[in-house]
Order: sequence, then structure tokens, then C-alpha cells
Amino acid sequence: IGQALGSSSLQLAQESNHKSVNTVAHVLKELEAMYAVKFLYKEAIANRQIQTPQNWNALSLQEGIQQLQQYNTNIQFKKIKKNFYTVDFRSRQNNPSTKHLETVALQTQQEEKNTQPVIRQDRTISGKVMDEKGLSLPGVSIVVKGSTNGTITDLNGEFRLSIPEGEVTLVFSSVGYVSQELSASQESFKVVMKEDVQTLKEVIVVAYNEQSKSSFTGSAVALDVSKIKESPRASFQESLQGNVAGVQSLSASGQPGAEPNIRIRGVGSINASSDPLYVIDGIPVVAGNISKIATSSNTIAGLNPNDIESITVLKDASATAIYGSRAANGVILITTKRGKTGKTKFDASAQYGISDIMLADRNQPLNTKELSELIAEGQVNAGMTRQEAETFVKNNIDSSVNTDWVDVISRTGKYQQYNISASGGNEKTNFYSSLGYYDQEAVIIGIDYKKVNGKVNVRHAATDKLMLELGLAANNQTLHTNDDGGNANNPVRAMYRAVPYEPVYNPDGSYNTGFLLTYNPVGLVNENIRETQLYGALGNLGLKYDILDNLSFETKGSLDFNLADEFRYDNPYFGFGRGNKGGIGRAYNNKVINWNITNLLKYRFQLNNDHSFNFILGQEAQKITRKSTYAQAQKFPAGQTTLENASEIIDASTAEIGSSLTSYLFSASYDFKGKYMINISGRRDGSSRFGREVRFANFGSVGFAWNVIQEPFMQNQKLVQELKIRSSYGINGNQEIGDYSTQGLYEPTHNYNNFPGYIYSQIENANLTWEKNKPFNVGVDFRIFNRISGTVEYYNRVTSDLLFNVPIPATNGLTRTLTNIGEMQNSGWEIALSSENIKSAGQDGFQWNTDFNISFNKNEIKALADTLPIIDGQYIREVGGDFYSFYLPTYAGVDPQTGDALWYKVEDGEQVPTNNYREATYQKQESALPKFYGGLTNSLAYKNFSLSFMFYFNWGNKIYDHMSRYTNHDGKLGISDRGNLSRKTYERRWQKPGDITDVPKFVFGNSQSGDAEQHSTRFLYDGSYIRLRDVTLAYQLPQNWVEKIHLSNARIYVRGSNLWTYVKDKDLEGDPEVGVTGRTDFRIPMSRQILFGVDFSF
Amino acid sequence: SFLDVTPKQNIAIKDAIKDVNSLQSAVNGIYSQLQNDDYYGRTMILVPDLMPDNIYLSSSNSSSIFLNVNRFEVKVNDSEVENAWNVMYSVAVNSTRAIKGAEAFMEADEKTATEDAKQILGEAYTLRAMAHFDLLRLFAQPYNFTSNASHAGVPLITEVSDQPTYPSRNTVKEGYQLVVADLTKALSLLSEETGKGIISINATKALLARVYLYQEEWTEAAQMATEVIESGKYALYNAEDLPAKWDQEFNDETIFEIINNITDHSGSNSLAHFFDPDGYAYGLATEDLVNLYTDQDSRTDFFYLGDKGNEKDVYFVYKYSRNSPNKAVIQDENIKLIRFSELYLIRAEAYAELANDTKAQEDLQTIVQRAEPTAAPITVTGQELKDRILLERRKELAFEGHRLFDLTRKKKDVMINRGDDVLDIKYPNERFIFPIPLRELNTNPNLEQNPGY
Repeated sequence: IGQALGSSSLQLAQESNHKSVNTVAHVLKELEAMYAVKFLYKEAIANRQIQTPQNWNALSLQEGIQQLQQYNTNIQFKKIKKNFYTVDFRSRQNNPSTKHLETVALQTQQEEKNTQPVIRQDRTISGKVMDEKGLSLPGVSIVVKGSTNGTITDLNGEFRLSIPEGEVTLVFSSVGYVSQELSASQESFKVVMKEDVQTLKEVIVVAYNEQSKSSFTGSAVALDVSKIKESPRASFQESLQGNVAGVQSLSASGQPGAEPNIRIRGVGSINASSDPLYVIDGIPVVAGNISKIATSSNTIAGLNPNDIESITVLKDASATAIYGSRAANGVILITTKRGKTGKTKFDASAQYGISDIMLADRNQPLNTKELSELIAEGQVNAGMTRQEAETFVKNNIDSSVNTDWVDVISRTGKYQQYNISASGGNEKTNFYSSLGYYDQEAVIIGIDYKKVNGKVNVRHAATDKLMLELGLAANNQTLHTNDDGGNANNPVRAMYRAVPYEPVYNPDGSYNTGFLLTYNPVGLVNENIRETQLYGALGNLGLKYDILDNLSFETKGSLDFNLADEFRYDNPYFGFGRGNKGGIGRAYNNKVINWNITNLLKYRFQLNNDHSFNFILGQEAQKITRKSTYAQAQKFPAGQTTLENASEIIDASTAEIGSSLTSYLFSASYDFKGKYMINISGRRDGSSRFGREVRFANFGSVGFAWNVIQEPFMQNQKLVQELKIRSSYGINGNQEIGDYSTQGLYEPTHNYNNFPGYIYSQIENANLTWEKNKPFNVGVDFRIFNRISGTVEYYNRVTSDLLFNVPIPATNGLTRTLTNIGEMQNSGWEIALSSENIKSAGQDGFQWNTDFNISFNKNEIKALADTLPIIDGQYIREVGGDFYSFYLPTYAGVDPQTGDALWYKVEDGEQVPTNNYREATYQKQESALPKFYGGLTNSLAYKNFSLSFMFYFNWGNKIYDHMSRYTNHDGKLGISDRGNLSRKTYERRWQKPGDITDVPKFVFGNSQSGDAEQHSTRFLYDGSYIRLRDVTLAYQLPQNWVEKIHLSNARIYVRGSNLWTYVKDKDLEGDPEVGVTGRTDFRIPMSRQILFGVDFSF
Repeated sequence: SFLDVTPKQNIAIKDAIKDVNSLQSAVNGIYSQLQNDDYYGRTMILVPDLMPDNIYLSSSNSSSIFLNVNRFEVKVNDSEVENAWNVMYSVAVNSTRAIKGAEAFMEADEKTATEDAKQILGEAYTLRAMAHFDLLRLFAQPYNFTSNASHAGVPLITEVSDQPTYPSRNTVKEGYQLVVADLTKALSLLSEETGKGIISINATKALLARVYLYQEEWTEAAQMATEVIESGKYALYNAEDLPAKWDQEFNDETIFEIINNITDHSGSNSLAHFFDPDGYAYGLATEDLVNLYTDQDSRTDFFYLGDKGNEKDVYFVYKYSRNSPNKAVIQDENIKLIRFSELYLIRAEAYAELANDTKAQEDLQTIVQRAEPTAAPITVTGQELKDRILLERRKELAFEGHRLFDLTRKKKDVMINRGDDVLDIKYPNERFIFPIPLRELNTNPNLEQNPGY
């Protein structure tokens, strides 16, 4: 090049140093040839003389540009994108950031002989490019068709371009938008770019990468994030329900901020976890409940759903195997929003709503009159005369009191949420920042939830090769919760079991503590403290370095910090702390610290435009530490609750556990003409959790895809627009077995005489290793009639080496040891369809889209530690059965003559009714797992209005009402203050011989049907239901109104959640959504909610 | 390496027993196992008196706990049986680990063999002997069941392993040999002065006296008992003080007791709660037993006539729940495992068997008259004297976990007379001992079940 420069028509500089002088056009051409870059400049400057370094050989492009800028103080280089610069001379009057782009000519290497202006300036056109929302789009390329003449839009989306006279067609293109061709028949343009929505063209976030959906061989679903954006739910996980085929999201409790059960393609483990891995911006994060006090809490709820850019659910081996030992139950990838180049944009939203108990009318507890009637009848049935029974009721029940405990304990819930975000950036740096506030009061007194989020994402191009990424998110969740189930503190238990003839307050205004073992539910809420504060911080710093155009190196370090800071105080007067002078205080502190480092090398290349190769090679290391502190003290001065005030320290302890994981991974993809794709991935994980003999293991997958639509034989038809067949198989694992399960251990806390003591607690198990999961998947993606697109998939995953605590002889000093044994299979079909039922050409026309998905999963236990079935409470786990099969005596109804409850006993293979519960035979019943589930969403839009509504359905499962034994006690509890009854008992009880009913005779102190252990199918219900889960009616304010108040966009809407539910089983006494185990309990009930919202941008 | 994560609150095996301090913690852990309600915390004290004729179960025992024990209908999968087996083996294994660990570090460095270390090692030997002795008593027929004690005993734990092991049953003779050897070894290690909450040299001697008695090694039994009696460290309370001071901690009569404090008692699963009228009160004293005492006997204060639920005019047992300063936390009483009066009775029995009736009468009279000063002097001899000693053991050691074993080692029948409910269990009987728990048989193919189960 030095020679080239020397041989050109250069003039020697007057100065003595190593400079030479040449025209701009000449110098830039040289640079283009040398560095494979392109420069864009006004033709007016082409012949300007500039000083240049004499010898470019020793210089990099950056250094060369720097020197040019040093020698020629007015010259400006601006990097538009990789290997693409604009060049201009700074003029004092102009704003340098935009004006230099105004009219430029595109110069390319092909024109190397020409130092003259490239394009003849015949006429000038100008215009503005916007997206569908009316926001300006910078960086859109505009090229005169058939030439290299063109430009790109500036930060305001504006452009000017000189074009030749005559008929000229302009091509507008930008990544993520449909390219448009327009005839340049006018001088001024307003161009609206449409987003590229064709499903198979989508780029989706997959493991360690982004990839076009059309070339992906695995099963991955990108959730439409608009579905979660306006959700009043604390976590995005709850919004997965009904929206993603193959994913169950089941809330066991209506407590806001509770963790839902997420199961991807079934229950994958018995004794380890069945939860998926969550990866936020490439960081595997801590998920789940880290609290000690709250019945449930959820670290993932700390992520503001409004900050989410995309969610991808990875389901099969091809998609997940690269996550190795953590991927057996699927992976959920989340990316958060980033700023876009352009002017700073503010988005704000506000929501306010109210809620009440779902399906409250399914069980209204009895009032004093009704309960008195039952008790009198019960006494008569137990042998009293009617007169004696009346006297008994009079003596024991204060008929002047009639407390409606549902009214006392439930309330109208309140909800509000506010979010504001700002994003923007320039060519080098962009940012996204947000602040959110969420506040929900549940429908039960004392239960509420608040959340504050902050988030910053910054991306900075340090050089043209080096990109810096910084992310920081912090959140604080505050939960006030209470115990659930049969716990005396549980307000829901009191709601259904407290008798109506006990008042809340004594006549003097003090709490009535003469019942419920003093656990007055209102007093407990007012006088006790149960507060869970969760803090989460997720910080990461990443570097991306482009070594070559097609070879890059990425490194990322992150810290995921989670803290639960909790306090519980029990007053000394009633409830748990009674009898204790001065109250009991307990403080819990639990920290989970998760460090992660990822290094990736990515390489891609193409051969003959037909063969594309893509490689990722990576290394990763993770360390998780869990530290907890606990302290308990009692005897506080009146009004004080901090532990420092307490005079008696009862207990204090700390604990710490940890684990580490080190990994190597690779992925290789090959794509032939976009027709045939193959992907191979692998990972080698080493985990501290596993036995020293089996510490490392390999995981991997192979996936194929065939884009049938690309075949020649598909070209002459109009029916099918997209058709892809794909299949994969592989192996991944589950390492959630506990941190030290393989080590030989002694266990502390076996103290003696106040001196520390420990005992042998775990035998070393050097061969204990991960559970292995082998998913097979085959699927078809299609689009037909230009309207209906969808995916149909079949999968079969077998999980083996399931962990079991296998019994060993107690002569070993221990009775069990964890062993890899057992096998379980999940297989099923998933169908997802999207249909554009009505499409109108204009933006204001009527639009109607329908999305539908349905999933069928079958779970089967293939092998257990023992040939004997495992009986676990009301479940039976046996080979050939499914994991949540109920195991209960079969209820045979009521003897019409005696009113006795009957159950079946099996005698010589015959089902024989018996009224003796102890004789009843436990039998395997149906399962808590649904036969199918899914969602149906309709979205309609007309002009500025839009309406969408989503039905969720869940079908074919059983629910066991665990607490019916108490609320349907048939008189067993006598006059107990916890003896209120269900309405069903009152309405349907057997009263006289000949009555045909399923509710037995009410007998005071009953021991026939009221046996305390009487679990039976009497309380096993059909769990099928259909729910109108979300309805949104929105109105987009007209643009001219909006602009008047200096906004760019404004929208108001009303949204309802759980507005309507069809429950198949009319006898079920509560809400059918009960969590994956299919067991109802006294939990915070689900609620029905209405909210009003407003969104605006400026 | 990065993947070697050391547990922070659990203790890796290699660090568990490496010096005198860690040895102390490991042995404290063993003592805490004795507190377990499946061992001395309840089962081991209750069962030997509940099975024969001292205790019956209240009809209010809704959870049916120990019901099968009380009716001689123990099943192979009864949890009380399984849990007792498990915790006793936990004691045997932990003791063996402590012994092996201590001997290893003492051998590696002689300087570590301090008096303190030897004392703790001695405790571990005695604790292992206790566990094996109790397993033999519950799960095997008495020593004299066969002429050379060659009948099935229990698996004996003398080695540690890092792999699960599947031992078969040793004979009763081998079992007693190990127990005697462990106690003898302990005597060579233990020091004179220790508190009563841990194993002392006298506690070990007393236990050895008891073991010799079960083996019918009369001379040795008498000699061991004498050494304890003459140690000068213990005294018998007089009739007036006995009921009042019985449940005081570390009183003059205690030789070894398990300390319970407020944080580690068994709560409603405790022995005290089982007897206490304010607790479960499932265990009631048989009339048969109560009628043995004269009105002048101060030990009648251990009974209380009262009502609870459907049980009217029944005798509650007050040995474990009376005089507690705070009724709400009565469960934290210490459990007395060896008391001084037993030594007199051991020696009396040994003398009687050795035909030294005069000395036997003397020892027996000591026990009889300190409870009832006006009682007539003991004059019976021969078999009558032996029977009288057995009777006095029943009265003196009632509710302390001796009765069943006294009957079986004396080859007596069990006769329970509860109104219409008469149980007459003839010696020998397969039902006098527990079955090997089903769970254990299922996991260890080398084990043989006791006949009759």
C-alpha cells in the first residue's frame, strides 16, 4: 500500500514530518481496500485535500483514523455499524451529530478507478421513516434499486438523498422489519416500516445465542411478552399459564408473591427438584422460596415483568442439553430490555384494581341458627330426646351471637402498580432504565405484598470491536403472610371452621380469646408480626470482542444476590406466645449468593453461500453459597419487638452450605441452503455435589430440521407458506440433590448437657450422581392459507437414575442412603395454533386473531428402589402408575336405612360396602395430573379499540380436599369451637330412613363416619375446569389528542382476571386451582380481580 | 479444587474425631441419643414394665401407642420396635466410631492420650456396652435360655465401615462377652471423679454388676456391687426423704442419669408426659402392683388415685412427674438409669444364689426398711428368700425398666390379671422378646427372625 500511495499523484507536504497530502476520495478508497471497510461521504468533499500519514502499514484502522483526525482537525469519522463509517468536515455553525449525514454518496470498492463524484446529482428527495407505532426509525438503509447509491436514516428517522431523474425505485430495509420498495415519484416521503412477524423468520433467544427460528432444530417457545406486560401478577411465571404449550403454571395459593409450580413436560423427578432452570440475560439464577416464615415466596418475582424483552421456554434436548446437569426439567430464558439508538423515550404505566375471593359461594359456612339446628339434630341422633337436645343447644350456644367469619376474615383486595422506564442511546452507548412499584393487598386480612424494582442496562461500544455490557437490577419484596393448612394461626382455617356463635370481641372490646385455643384470627393479625423482606440484586458485566468479522469472544461475570430478612413476633396474650410473659421474637436471615462466570467463543462461516456453519465453544463456572442466621428471644417490654429489647435469649444459630459447578460446552450447527439443519451440542459438568468417583459427566444432543418449504416441489403451491419438520434426542441431567449428599458426615445439634455434640449422619456415597433425563422430540412447524400457523410436537422423556433414599440396615448406624435408582417417563403431544381469522388491510380495520394451545402429558413410573409401592400420604407411587395417583378407600355413599357412611372393603376380589372405616380397603384412585390443559386467546381490534380474552382449561385430574374431614365432620367434633360445617353437610345430610344422599347422618360425637382418619374418595373431586383468566379492553388515544399533550402514545384499558370459572364438579367446595399435587388445603384463596390501567410514552 | 466444597455446619467424617475436643463432641452426641424417646427417653424404661404386670394402658390412649406391646401382640413392623432397634444401633455405631477414632489419634501421637481423652474413650466403651446389652435384653432370649447361651443374639458392632455392611446375628454368649469386655476395658480408662450425668467408673461397675447378674455370675456380681456400695459416694434416703428427693437431679441415690435440659427433652413424647395426669397419662399402675405396698411404705407416694377422662379411680404413676417446679415443662426431667438401691438388690440376689442367706437378708432388709422402717425383719431363706428379693426388686425398681427382664431371667411366667382380662404368658415364650424389625430384615438378607414372628 505504501508503494501504491507512493505511485499515486501525491504532493509532498511542506512540513518535514511523515505526512503526505491527497484528496479525500483517494485516501478513503485506499483505506477501503486495505481494511475492508466502507465510507460514506458527501460528494462535495470528495476532492478536498487532506493530510495523511505517509505509511499506513504500521497502523490499524483505528490508529489511521485517529491520525487523520489529528492532521485534519475538521475531519470527522463516525462509525455507523461494523466496518461502515460516515465522513464529514465539521463546520462551526452546524450541529455535528446530524448534519453530516444529510446528503451523502455511497462509495464502494467497485468504483476504484473513479476519483470523480460517483453519482450525478439530478434531484433530491427527503423523508422520514417510522415504525408502526409512529416512532422514528434511525439506521434504515435506503438504496436506489439496481445501484449502490443510497443512504441511511439519521437519529430522527429522517433522510435526504440525491437520485437520478426518471423512474427510480427505492428499497427501504432494516433488520426486524419487512423490506419495502417504493417508487420515488414524489419529493417527500413518509414511510412506515412493518415489523417482520412471519414466525419462522423470527429470531429467538436460545441457549448462549440468538438464532432464527427457521434454522433451530430444538423445541423452544418464545412467549409473546405483550401477554405479561399488563398482568397484575407478581411474577411472569404466573403468566405462563395457558400461554405456552407443554408448560404448567399452577398456583397453590392466592397469596400474592407466592411461587407457582412450573412443570415443563411433566414431573421429572421424585426426590430431587422438578423445577426448570431460569436464566436471566445469560445468568443462571436462584429461583424459588428462600424464606423461612412465609409459606411461599419467590425470588423470581423480584424480576419486574415490565423489564422483560423476551422469554423463551426450552423444552427438548436440542434446546436444553447445553445446560447439562441443570436442564432436565427444561430451561426458561429471559432477556431484559435494552435501549435503542435514538431519542430518549419514556414509558409510564399505572394500574389500580380491586379483588375478591374466587368462587366464595361454593362453601358458605353455617350461621348460628343453622349450626344450632344441626347440633340439636346430632344430639337427637345420638340418643337425646328433642327436649334434652334443645336444652343442650341453649346451654352451649349463645344464639344472640352470629359472627360471619368469612366477612370478618376476608376483605376486598386492593392492587396498584406503577412503572416508568427511560431508554435511548447514541451510536456508541445505549441504555434502558426502569423503576417499578407493585402493591397488592390480598383478599384475606393480614396478607399483603409489595415490591419495588430498579433496573439499568447499559451497552457501550468501546471500540468498533469491543462491546461492553452492564446490567444491574435490584428489588425488594415485602410479604406479610401467615401459616396455612391446619395451623392454628391460619386465618383461612378460622374462616371455615370457627363457630358463628363465638364473637370476635368481648363486650368490653377486648379480643375474644376464649376459643380456638386463644388464636383469635383478628387479634393475631393485629398483634403479631410476620414479615418477610426479600432483597434481590442481579449484576453483570460482559465484554464482547470481535476478533474477526465472524469470530467473537464473549465473557460475562455476574453476581446474583438474594436475601431473606424476616421477623416473627408472637404476642404474650394469645396464640402461640400465650403464657409467655412478654412475647416471643424470632429473626431469620437467609442469604443466597450465586457467582457465575461464562466465557464463549463464537465462530461462523459460509461456503459457497450454501453451507453455513456456526460454532460455540464455552466454559462456565458457578458457585452458590447459602448462609442463614436465626435468633429467638423472649420477654419484651410492652410495645417493643426488636430482639435487643428482649430479656431472655432462647436460641441463636448460623448455618452455611455451598456448591460449585464447573463446565465446558460446545454447540455446532450446520445449515445447507436453509433446507437441512443439524445441530450437535455437548456439555461436560463437574459438580461438588456428586461423589468423587462420578464428579464429571457428559451431556449432549443431536437435532435435525428439514425446511420442507424450501424444496423445489413446494414452490408451485399456494396452500402452505411454511413447513418444517424437526427432531432431536439427547441427554441432560438434574443435580438438585442437596449440597453434601455424597459426603460422609456427622450432624451437629445433638448436644448434651449444653455441650456441643454430633452424630454420624450420612454414609459416604462416592458413586452418587445426577439424575439423567433423555428427551426425544419430533415436531412440525407450519403456516397455511397465509393465516394459520402452528406447531405440533410429540415428546417422550425418560428420567433415569432417580434419587432415592434407599433403606440400609440400621446396624450401619443409619437407616438410609441416597442411591441412583428409579425411572420415570413423561410423554405427550403439544399443539399450538395461531390464526388470523380476520385481517383488514388498513391499520384501522377489524382484526381478529386466535391463539390456541393444548398439551397432553402422560406420566409413568418405570422403576422404583423397591418392588413395593411407596405410599406417601394420600398418594401411591408404584411401577406403571403415575406420580400423583391418589390412594384412598373408596366411599360407597350413605346407607339409606341407617344414614351411616359406607366404604368399600375388598373381600375375595369383591367390593363389599362396610360402615366400619377400619375395614375399608385403601385403593388406587385416579391421578392429580390432568389429562390435558391449555389456553385459548382471542384478540380483536377495531380502530383504536382492542379486546382480548383468554380461557385456560385444565381437564381430567382429581383433587383431594384435605380439610373436608373437618368441615364435613358429621358431628364428630361435637360442640368444638372449631366445629363449623360446610353448607353441603347442612343441605344434604341424611335425616330419615329412605333418604338418598351422599352426606351421612349427623350424630353428635359421631365415631362411625367421623373417624379422624377417614380419608376417602368422599372428598376426592373432579378437578376439571375452564377459566376466563384474562380479559383486556383497551382504547388507544388518537394520535392528534396525544400530541397535543406532548405525548407520543397513550392508552387506557380495563382488565379482568379470573372473571368466570366453569367447575365441572359441582360438589367441590373451593377453587379448582390447587397446585401440582392436587391437594386443597386451607390456603389463601384465589381471587377475582378488576383493574384499570393507563400507559403513555413521551 | 474448585469442586471440593467442605461442609460448614455438618462435619466431614475425617474431622469428626481427631483430637480430644472433637472426641468429646462425638461422645456428647451419643449421650444425646440416650435421651431419645425411643431409647431411655421412654421406650427402654417403659416397655419392660408395660409388657408384664406393672403398667397398663389407659383407654384414652387414642393413638394406640404401645398397645401391641401391652397385649403381647408386637408386630414385626411396629414403629416402637423399629425405632428402638435403630437408635440402639446408632449408639453402638457412634460409640465404635468414637473408640476407633480415639484409639487412632492416641496411637498416632502418644501425647494425645491424656487423662481426659482416656476418660472419654472409657465412656464410649461403656456406652457401646449399654447399647449391646439393651439390644440383647429386648431382642434376644435371656442368657440362661440355653445352657451355653448359644442361642441367637444380635449383630455386634466392633468395626467401622464406609460402605453399608450386612452383619448376621452373633450368639448371646458372644454378645455378653463383648459387653463384659467393653465394660472391663472402660474400667481401665475411666477416672474416679466425674459428675453423675456422664459415665463414671462406678456407673460402669454398677452396670457390670447388672450384666453379671443376668449372666448368673454371682460372685462377680456381688463383688462389683460391693465395690460400688463401698465407694462411699452414694447413700440411701430414709423413708421420709425418699419420695420427696427421688426426682431431684443428681441426688444421693443416683449413679448415672441422662441429663435433659430445656432444649432437648422429648416434649409430649417423654416418659413424664406418658405418666403425668396433666399429660397423656396413658401409663397407669396396675392394682396388682399397688396392692403390694403396705400403707406404711413411703413408696406408695409414687402413686396417686384419681380420674381422667373415662378412667375413674385409677392409679397414676408419679415417679416421673411429681414435684416439678413448673408443670408446663415437666418433660425436661433427667432420666435415672442406675440407682444405688439396685446395687443392694443385686448383691442380695447374688448372695442368695451363692447360699449366703444371712448377707442376702441383710442387703434386702436395708432396702425394705429404708422405705418402710416398721417392716418386719427379713427371716425367710432359700427359695423363699430369692422370691422375696425378686418381689422387692419389683417394688423398689417399678417403672424403671427392670420387671420383664427380672421375670424372664428367672424363668417366671407373666401373669396379668385385669378384671376379665387375664393374660397368662408361660415361660419360655417367644413373645417375651421383640421381633427383629421387618425393615431390618428387608434390608439385610443375613438376618434371621426370632422364632414366632
